[in-house]
Order: sequence, then C-alpha cells, then structure tokens
Amino acid sequence: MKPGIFICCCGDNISGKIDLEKLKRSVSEDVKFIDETPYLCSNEGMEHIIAKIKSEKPEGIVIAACSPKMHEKRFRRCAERADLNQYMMDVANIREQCAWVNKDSNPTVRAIDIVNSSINAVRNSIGLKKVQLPITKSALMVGGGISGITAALSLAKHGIRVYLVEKSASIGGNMVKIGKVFSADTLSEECAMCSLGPLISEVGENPNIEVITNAEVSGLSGHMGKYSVKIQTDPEMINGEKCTSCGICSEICNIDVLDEFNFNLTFRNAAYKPFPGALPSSYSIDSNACIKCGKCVEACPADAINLESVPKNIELNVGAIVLATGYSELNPEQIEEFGYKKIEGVITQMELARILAVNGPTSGKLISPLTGKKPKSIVMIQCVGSRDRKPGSIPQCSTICCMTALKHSNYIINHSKGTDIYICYTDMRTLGTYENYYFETQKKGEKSLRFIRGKVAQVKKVNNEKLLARVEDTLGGGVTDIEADMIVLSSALLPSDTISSVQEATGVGLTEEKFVKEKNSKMDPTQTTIPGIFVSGTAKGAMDITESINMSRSAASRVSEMLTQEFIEIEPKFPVLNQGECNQCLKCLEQCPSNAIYLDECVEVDPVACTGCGYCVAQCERQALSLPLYSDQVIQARIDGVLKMGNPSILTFLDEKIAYTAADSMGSNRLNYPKDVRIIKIPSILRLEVKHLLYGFNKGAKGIFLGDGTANASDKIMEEKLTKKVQELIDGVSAEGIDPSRIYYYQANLPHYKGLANKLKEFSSLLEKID
Amino acid sequence: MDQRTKTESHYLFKSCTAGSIYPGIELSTQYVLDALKLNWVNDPRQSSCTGSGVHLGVVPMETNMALNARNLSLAGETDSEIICICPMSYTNLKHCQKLISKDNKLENNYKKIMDEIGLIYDIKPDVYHVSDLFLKHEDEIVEKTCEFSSNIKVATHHGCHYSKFFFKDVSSGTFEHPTVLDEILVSVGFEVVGYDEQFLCCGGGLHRYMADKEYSKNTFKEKFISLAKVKPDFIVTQCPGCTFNIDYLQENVLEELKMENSIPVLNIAELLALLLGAQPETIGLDMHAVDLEPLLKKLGLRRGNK
Amino acid sequence: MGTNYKISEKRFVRRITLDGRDESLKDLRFKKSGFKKCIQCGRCTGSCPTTVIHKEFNPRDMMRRFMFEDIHSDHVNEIIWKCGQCYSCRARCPRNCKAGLGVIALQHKSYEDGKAPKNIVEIGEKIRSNLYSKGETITPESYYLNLKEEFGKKTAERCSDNPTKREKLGFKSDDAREIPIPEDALDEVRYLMRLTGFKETNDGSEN
Ligand code: SF4
Ligand code: SF4
Ligand code: SF4
Ligand code: SF4
Repeated sequence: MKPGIFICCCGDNISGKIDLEKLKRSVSEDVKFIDETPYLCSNEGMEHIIAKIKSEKPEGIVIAACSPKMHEKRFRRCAERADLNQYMMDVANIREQCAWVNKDSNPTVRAIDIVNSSINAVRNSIGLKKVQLPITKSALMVGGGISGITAALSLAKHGIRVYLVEKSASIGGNMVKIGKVFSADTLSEECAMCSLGPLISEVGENPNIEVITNAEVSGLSGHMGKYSVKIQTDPEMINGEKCTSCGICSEICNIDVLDEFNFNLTFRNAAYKPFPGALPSSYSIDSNACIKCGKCVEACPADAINLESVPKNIELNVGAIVLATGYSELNPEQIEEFGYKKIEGVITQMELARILAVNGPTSGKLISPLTGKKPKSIVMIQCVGSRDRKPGSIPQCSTICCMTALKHSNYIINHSKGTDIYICYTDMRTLGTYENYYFETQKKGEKSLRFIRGKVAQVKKVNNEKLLARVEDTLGGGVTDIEADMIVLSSALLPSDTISSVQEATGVGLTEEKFVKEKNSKMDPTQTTIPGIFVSGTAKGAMDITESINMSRSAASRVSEMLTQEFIEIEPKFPVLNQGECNQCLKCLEQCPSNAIYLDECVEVDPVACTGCGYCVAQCERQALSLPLYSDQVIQARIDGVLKMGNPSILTFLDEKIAYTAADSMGSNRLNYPKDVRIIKIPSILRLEVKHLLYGFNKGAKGIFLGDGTANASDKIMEEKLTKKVQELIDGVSAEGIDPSRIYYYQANLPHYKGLANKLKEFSSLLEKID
Repeated sequence: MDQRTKTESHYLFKSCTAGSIYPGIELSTQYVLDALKLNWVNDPRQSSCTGSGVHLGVVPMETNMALNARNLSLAGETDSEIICICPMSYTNLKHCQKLISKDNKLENNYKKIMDEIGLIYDIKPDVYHVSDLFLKHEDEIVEKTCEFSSNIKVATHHGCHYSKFFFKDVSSGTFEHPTVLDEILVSVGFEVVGYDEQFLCCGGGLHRYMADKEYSKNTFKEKFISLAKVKPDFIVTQCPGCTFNIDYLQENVLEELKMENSIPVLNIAELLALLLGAQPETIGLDMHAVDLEPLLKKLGLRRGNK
Repeated sequence: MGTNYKISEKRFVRRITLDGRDESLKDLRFKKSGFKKCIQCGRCTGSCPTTVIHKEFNPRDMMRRFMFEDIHSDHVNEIIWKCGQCYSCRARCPRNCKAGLGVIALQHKSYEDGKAPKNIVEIGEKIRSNLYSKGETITPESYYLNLKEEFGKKTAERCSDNPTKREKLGFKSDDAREIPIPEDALDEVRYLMRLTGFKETNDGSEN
C-alpha cells in the first residue's frame, strides 16, 4: 500500500527551513502522491485534502505539518468525510520537532526520517472504529448538603432520575447548622433555614429524586455511562412510611447522645429527628447509641418501630455520579497553642454559629462558656489551621472564614450591645463585592469592633477568669496581650470524613488534604480523575454557598450533557483481547494500573477506564492482547522508517501526554537539542517491550531515550510500574550484550521542556563518550 | 572504640557543656546505656558540634558544616546511629546533615574535604537525642527501676533546640508541647504536672548567659514563676544547658521574688541513672547548685529492690 | 548603606531606586532563614521571648529587613545580639521560616567585620581558641566564673569545690572530655578550621 502525502508549508514556518523538494524526492517511491499546500489547517486546506482523497483514493495518508497536538482531530475528520478510515492517517510533526528546533544545521535530514516513520506507520495500520456504549439515564448524588440538593434539583428538572444519598438522618448538610448567612447585596444577615427550607421541600416533592438517608456508598463497578453502585444503609429501626413524626419515641428515650446538629454543644436522644424541617421528616433511631430497651416500641402509636432491623444493601444503576460530600470544620485541638478543648471559653466559628442560632443550645443568646454570661470581649483568631504549613494544618486559604468572622461580628454588634470584638487577621480576604460587607461591618463596629493585623501566637488563661491572646500588632502596636472572656477560632475547612469511604469505594483521586481532585481544574472543572464521576461544592475545596451552588449547577450540566446523548463514543485506543488465546491467568487484570480489566464470564477490557498505556500487552504470555493503534508492527514500522536513511540516531520514545508535549515546547521555544534525536510517540513507556528496543538497536540506533510523564499521577502506582518496566527493559537489553548505558530514562513529571532538552543533551554526550 | 558488632549500635555524642559543668550527666548517660545493655561507642575523636559558637555568631557556617561532616562520618564509620547528650548538638548535626545532603555542590565539596583528612565521607547516620532512645526503651527502664515513694510531682522542660528547629521529629507530643520526658516519667511512676509556660525557653545555657544575661535572667524568671505555681517536687530537663540555667539562676530569682523554696533540677539521664541504681556521688549529684539531698530523701530509693 | 535605599534628609520618605539591589549576604543561613516566604504575620514575634524584653528587636521586623536588605545599619548591628536563639519563631511560623537562623548570619558578619559588642568578642575568642586547642567550645574553665557574684552566696558555697569533684569523677580539670581528643584527630579538626577561614595558630592565639 502506498499512502498519499500532504505537506504543509505553514506559511514559511516549514518551507523556510526544510528543503521540501529534497524531502519529496527522497520519499517519492513509497507514496501514491505528494501534495504541497501553504496552509493545511485553513478551511481551504481542509477542503483540499478531502477533494484530493476523493479523487486519488489513497488507502492511507500522511500529513506532514505541525504537531498532532494541534490539528490531528480535524485532519481525522477530513479523512472520514472523504470516506477514508480516520485511523489510516498519521501526522508527521515536521514543525515543532524539526523546523523549529534551533541551530539545527540540516533539518531536512530529520524531516525525511520523520516522514518516513509516518509513511511506514500508515502502511502497517489497520482501519479502526470508535466504539459506542449505551447509557443509563440516571445519576447518583453523594451528599445532601446545599451542593447535592442544588445539583439533584437541577438534574431532576432535566428529566434525569436522581438518587440522593446522605450519610446522616436528614439532608441539609452544614447549611442548616450555620444559622445565619450573609448577603453582600443587602449587607445583612439572613436566616439560612429560610433559604434552604424551600429547597429541601422541593427535593421531597420532586418525583424524579429518591432520597436515601443514613446511607453510604460501599462499592462501585462499571464505567462512565453505566455504573452499578452499592449503597449500605444503617438499620432502619423506624419505618419511614408508618412514622407520623409525633415524637413520642424521642420523649420516652432516655439515652443521651452528643448532638452533631449543635456541634456537640448539647445532647439529643437515641430516638431523634435532627432538626425541625428535616427531610425525611420521620424520626430515626441512632443504631450506635440505642440500647434496645424497647420502651419506644411500646410507646409508638403507629407501630412503626422495629429494633431488630438490620443494615440494608441497595444496588443502584446510574450513568454518572456527582460527589458532593461537603466539608467539616478542622478540629483545632491539635494546634495546642490555642488551647481549644483545654481552656474553657475557646470555641470555633461553627460553635459560635450554633450559639447565635435561635434554634441553638442557648436559643440564640450570646453566652461565654467561660463565664456563663454575655462576653465583654471576644477575640476572633483568623487562619487557624489554614494557610499554615505545620503538621495538622492545611496550606490553602479556607476562603470563607474572613467573611464568617465579619458576619458573626456584624450580628453581635447588632444584637449584643456591650460586647467588644477584636479580629486578629493575617489578610482580610473579602473579594469582589464582599468588600462592601467588610466596609459596612467596620462602620457599624465603630464602637466595638477593632481589627488587629497579626496572627495570634498563643492563648493563655489567667486565674480562671479571663483569657489572654498574644498577638503582634504588626502595624505598629507591638506585642499585645488582649484580654477576653471568649475566643473564637476561625478554623479551616477540611473535607468531610465521608470522603475516605467514597474514595475507597470509587478510587477517585484526592489531593493531599483529601479534597476531591479535578483532573484539569483550569479547563475542565468538576471532572474528577475518573470519567463519569464529577465533584461539586466543598468536597472540592473551601468555597462559600454561592460558589457551591454555581459549581453544583455546572456539575449537573456536565452530567446532563452526558446522559442526554444517545450513547458514549470512545476512541479505539484500548487493547483488544483474543478470547481464543486467553487462558484466564489474570496477569493483565492484576497488573493494569487503571483497573480497567475485569473478569465477567471471560476477561474483559473496560474501554472507558483504560488509559491505553499498553502495559497489559506485554504481561500476557499467550499474546492474547494487542493494542491496535500501537501494535508491534506499527512500532517496528516507525523504527524502520526513522532509521531507513541510515542516520546514527537516538530513538526517543516519549509518552503522548507529558513528554511529547514537552518536546513540542522545546520547538515552540526554539531550543536546541541534539540533531540525532528522533522522536516516536507512544501512549506510555509501559507499552515498550525488550524486543522493540532490540529491534531498534539491531537496525542501527545508537541509543534509546525513554521519556515518560505519566508517573506523576495521584497515586504511586504508575511510578512503581514505570520503574519496574525501565529496569526490565534495561536488563533485557543488556542480557543481549548491549551496553545498558545506551538506554536513558527520564521521568518527566511536568512538561518541563528545558529539563527535557538538557537530558537529551546529557544523553547525547554520554553516548559520545561510549563511542 | 569500645565495641563494634553487628547489632544496633549507638554513637554517644558528648556535650561540651555537660563535660564542663555536669560531668555527671555524661557518666549517668553511660550508666543508663550500660544498664539497658545497649551497644554504644565512646569515640574520643569526636569534636564539638560548635553549636555554642554558632549560636553566638562567632563560628562560620562553613566550619560548622565541616566539623559536623567529620563528626557524622566518624559515626558512619562505626555503623552507628548518633545519640546526643545535648539538644544543641542534635540540632546542629541534623542541620548540617540536611544542608549538605540536599545540595550537590556542598556534598561534593565535603566529600573532597573528608578525603583530604583520610575519612570516608558518610553523613547518613540517623541523629537522635538520648531521651529519644530512653523513650524507646521505656519498658526495660520501668522493669529495672528501683522502688521509690509515690506521689512525687515532676515538671518537665524540653530543650528548644530539641523541639523547635526540627519540629517534625519530636518523638512524642508536638513541638508546642513535647512529651518525651513526660512519657518516660509517667511510666516509671511519677506524676507529671503541666504548667502554663511549657513552650517558653528556659533562658539558654552557659554561653547564652555570658552573651546576654538580661535575656537569660528575665526569660528564666518568667519560666520559673510559672513552674513554681504548680509546686513540683523537682524539674526534669533534657539538656545540660537548660539544667545549668534552671539550677544556677534560681538563687537570685528566688531572692528577687522573695520566695523560699528552691526546686531541684535533674537531667533525665541523671534521674534514670539514679532509678536504675547509680549512687548519687558517682554521678556527681553533689555538683548541682540546688541541693538535691532533700529530694533524694523524699524519693526514698530502695536500691536493688526490684 | 550599601543598598538601593536613599533616605531624604528633609522629608521622611524612603525611596526605592532604579539602581537595583545589592547582592545579599553570602552566608547560607541568611537565605535559609526563608525570608522570601515570610508573610509578615507576626506569629514569630508573638512567640519570641526576646521581644518582651528588648522592644527594639522582633523577628518579624528582622524578616522584613532581610527582604529589603536593610541589614547594614548601626541599629541592626545593635539589635541582632538580642536574639536568644531559641527558635520559637521557627516553631510557630506558618511558613516554616527561621528568623533566628538569619539573625546568626548577620551576627557572624558583624563579628567578622569587628563590629560585635565587646563581651561577644571576648567570648568568641575564648570559644574559638578552645575549639582550636581542644576541639571543644565550652571548657571547665569557661565556667570558672565568680560564682558568688554571678549566682549568689549559697550557689558559690555549694559549687566552689566542683573542680575537685570533677577530678574525682575522673575528668580533667581543664578539659570537658573524660578522654581528651587524640592529637591526630585534633590535627584534622584544625585542618578543617583553617580551611574554613580560621586564622588561629597551634598555641591557641590568633595570628
Ligand atoms: S479566609 Fe481569611 S481567615 Fe480564612 S484562611 Fe483565608 S485569610 Fe485566613
Ligand atoms: S492499556 Fe493500560 S490501562 Fe488499558 S487495560 Fe491495558 S494496562 Fe490497563
Ligand atoms: S511567623 Fe513566619 S511568616 Fe509570620 S512574620 Fe514570622 S517569619 Fe514571617
Ligand atoms: S530565635 Fe531569636 S528571634 Fe527567634 S524566637 Fe528565639 S529569641 Fe526570638
């Protein structure tokens, strides 16, 4: 088969550096036609390609132009439109990786090798098809706080069925506890429950939403578009259908449990309803606290209680998942200098929120736990556990605590005359219009509110009657001890505990602080490391209510985009298994770094989860697995092509995501690197086998450079596999009598192009020393 | 070199301050190590960690690093981990180790220099304070401790140079409130009392006293007021320098504060040596400034009773 | 001044000029103080035992001076000696800085330039010569102060006999070590000291 060649001049970016006539001459015998166009990527260029394919009917084409990272997808579409299989096309990167390389005295030599490599690859390619997968049109929402509620409602309105799974006895999350929310528009504090209540009822009324409380995700299988999720619920001792919410069980129960709704400042009973307006509205029994005395069973007029019920396992089929597991406030106990839990009167902002709430432990009266009276002076300590690189703290800004401190100050100024407040801050972070609220609070606090710029160093108690916060007033007041009878710690926002079990069940990637990681937080927010699983709200990081709502809507829109399609289309970049050869040894299954291989009746590859790294191919002793896009034939053909002209080359295998991008950047930044470097793009070094390297050496390569950036994944698995793979390659090659120093491995954690150029130079000079 | 076998071995890093003012601390440490049947090396070739000079600004960083590269390599040669008597040595050795090993240029330079003095460069040995080791062998210590009176209250002071510079490496508790000594003391049977100014510096050792008496005296005074409030029977320290400060500065401070009772001070090694059967004279307890006799009586150690 | 600052005589304005900054202190410890990461939050100052005694000195202010290379004035030369080297500043710093480490870099520069206070020069000479002649910084001699004057009558009574007691315990009267450092090992130490800028000679004095 002879492919047709399209050469792009790219203005004179390419033609100004490379002698195109010479290039054409030297490849002419292997091709059906050679075409030269000023700009292939222009609309005219594209139409030209289509027309030319239609008239000449080549079985494959090579496009010698800029990096495939630029226009490969568009060129593929051209091929399809001209009725040529889109995988019978290869891009020869003669711009970034040839014409743009600085101080290359003869780029034409390199260009010829690159084009030859592509010609060979196309000649050995087979036409492939994208796969289409069916979709389950329902979604799972993990977490029933403001974020989960918003996303669920939004999806339900798009006609998608939603399961809303919540760990506690009611949906509502942290927002029901905080009492007041600030409004930057009306410059006032509003009742949180008044805004949230209607949404909670709407969830209850929407027929498309099924709320499952006291429940956690315990397992996950399947893939994007078709997940099967295991949910485990606590024993449902009170039958929600029968319960009339009369509350008699709670009255009769005398087991005291710390009330999480009041941040453990008060007690509730084992039979309880978390708060008025909870959803579901039925009562629950806390199975961890209940002693099964049976009093409530007798008392219940609706006969709704069964103490012997057991945990339930539910299986749900969904097409997509949104993680909205929310946050919990950092427990500042471990930051011992603030004396939390050791010194009476030191509380957190969340606890203050409960104290200020009308339905809180003091019915909204501001009372200091130290004196039992209205505090004379409150010190608020900002950035507790945030913006701090000490163990137990997190380095990020928690973004909401400056506003929380202002909100509480504002409220106290209005409702508690005679209480002074000192806010000790590092920076006041009140972005955008929030600055107005800051300004307003300052004005209102003219008498009682003062700001001190300094991070408090320590809190002490003096003679059991007052507290002392030591801070440097960095704006000139010097070291200052502030007397107070209440100290409020603006404690950091951490991901809620639930995330650990969710992570275990789903394998979703987390940051060091255990927030859910976004795969590309800049260009693709809400997308987690797993296709089909999204994140919204504070599960992703600190944010306020408005931002949570925004993000939830955005996640919901991503989900509905996906679930309203007919099917999901996947590139054929995954391995194909020849079932006739497979003896179910399961080596591939055990070794796949993405857990993409599973055993049903026979061994199957999940095309969605597969990253196409190719590691499994070499694991299979019966050669049952192959990776069509990067088959042995294609890899060898590329090597053949590159070495065809007999130049003493350094075969440079780079992973397509990171290292290959770095190589492009070397060109676009006009760096210089050794003229012998010949780059071959592969999915990952994991795809390579000893035989490929030996093949290269036998064909005359003087050295082989391996560059891979996929090791920089959230877990250590890729790094381990890569290290093992490289060692295997080196050992295998040296067993055949080849000097192992002719192989060089570079772990390219980032697309750091200067680093790559330096490594290439280093390797080249090492090779010179050997020769 | 005393012993060299394959079992875990400890390179005892001696302290200038201890050796000069409280030779008993060094002897006590040796006593405890022997009582625990630990393998340890007493290498006379060791030099000072130069901390007393470094922290007064009179010794350059280069000298600090060169001498400690040598000290570390000496320990490397004996295949031992280093246990320091003085927290200042602990911090200085660790600091030099970290600076050098993180910087290729420095590493090559000190490799070359060690070569010039005929030493194999090996700065890898782990560095600990002796109290870390005591804590590790807590159970054996408890087992071997003589009986003594109950209801004795102790307050502890951990050296700043132990807990604050390499704050992540505190082996029990946190930098804010280290509990290495507390843990050992509680398990041998003392009651440990907390006090407000746990975190505060004691005022520094002899070199600090000579450089800035005002700092030493004032800081110690604040510390002492807080300590005296909780009325401990004695104070246990980790560092020979702190021992000096808390011991020697008491008389004047008591006078100034018009207070009667002095509080005896023992270094953790001295205390453990006593509990493990050492005679007070053999570990130089009579060299302390605050009389230890009343405390010894109160302790009522019954030697060999366990 | 040696920096790109000018302070006008007539108006209280600090001007940061276009002249570019001076090269900062070479001492490794200066850089390792981490002043570039400092956010001036003042936690160090709130934790520093010196600040409550000497109000001119505070670690946050030192860090600010490091950033702007405001480290050459007589005032700075005076206050740097107040730091007690306790590293409380480092322990609580949210950015893991070490103000105290930068301070000793400045102290050392001042000492080398002959600007250190008299008592520091005296102790410095002692410590350096001890190091050169015995491989130790502190020796028993360093401790032979006028005990009564320094620490009080009782302490003097109890401790004046300590030199004899230490000998009974098997320690030399003029050496901190039970077994003094061997001559060849000491030669190594001296070699390293000379290599790193010491000018002391074998008899312990500076030449
Ligand atoms: S929001 Fe304010 S208080 Fe909270 S971490 Fe950020 S700067 Fe600190
Ligand atoms: S190609 Fe890689 S990710 Fe895909 S199944 Fe094979 S080993 Fe797993
Ligand atoms: S504590 Fe750290 S960051 Fe804050 S002012 Fe001091 S050195 Fe700077
Ligand atoms: S090291 Fe110096 S600056 Fe830092 S806290 Fe101690 S005395 Fe203050």
